[in-house]
Amino acid sequence: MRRAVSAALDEIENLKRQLKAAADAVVAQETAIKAANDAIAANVKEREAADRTILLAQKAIDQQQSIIATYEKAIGTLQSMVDMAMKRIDKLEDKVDKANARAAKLGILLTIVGMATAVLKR
Amino acid sequence: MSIKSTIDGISGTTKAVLFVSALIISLIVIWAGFLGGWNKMGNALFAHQINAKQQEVQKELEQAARDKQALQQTLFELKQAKDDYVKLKEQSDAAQKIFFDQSKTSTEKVAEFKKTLDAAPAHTSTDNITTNDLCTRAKAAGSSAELISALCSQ
Repeated sequence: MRRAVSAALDEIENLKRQLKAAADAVVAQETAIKAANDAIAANVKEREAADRTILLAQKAIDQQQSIIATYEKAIGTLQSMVDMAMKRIDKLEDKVDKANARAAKLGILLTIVGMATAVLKR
Repeated sequence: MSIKSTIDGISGTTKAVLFVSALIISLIVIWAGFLGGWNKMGNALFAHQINAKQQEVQKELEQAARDKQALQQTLFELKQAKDDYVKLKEQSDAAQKIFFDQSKTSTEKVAEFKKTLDAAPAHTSTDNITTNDLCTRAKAAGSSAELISALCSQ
């Protein structure tokens, strides 16, 4: 009977040791699972932040391109203004040249008329 | 000498020449006036066109200024988002490090458990064992009160 009780006490001791090891392993597993969940959640947040950053960067690039396009359009309009002004200047210069030519012809004509009048008056 | 006698003194041919000259000069003056008016009209049209273009350029520059403000706002948000990302990445890396550490600990604990399972069970020699020994062992093992009572009361 004493041998049986001794064996039973040994068995209890063995089971307790195994149970403690299993409990430690379970706690460690649960801690690892919690750490894994925390890491996954943190990774999801990191990914969302990265996506948001990329979207904003893309938006900034699009806006920069839009500004460049607007400035290019303004430059084109200014260029057309300059072209218009140059054409106007050319036209006015042409008119001035023609007016000068007419004035010269008129001067010659008036000189001839004056000379003719003087001759006829004699 | 009056003007009339002076005019009468000029011959008919000279009068004709003077008349034609006056006519030509008058036509030239009229033509010059017409040209001046035409030029003014051209200038006014040109000024109108230039003003229209200037307003167009002004609108485009205002649009560019608005776009620039929007871009500055976006760049500000981008900077904030980047800062957030850096912080969250640090947190994520830290959480990952903890996970790897815990995972390693978990593996070690499982290995320890398996080792415990595989270990040779305790076997106490039963030679010359007394009830008093059993009582001491039961107390040390934290056995139930009934068992301790049964072993220790004898």
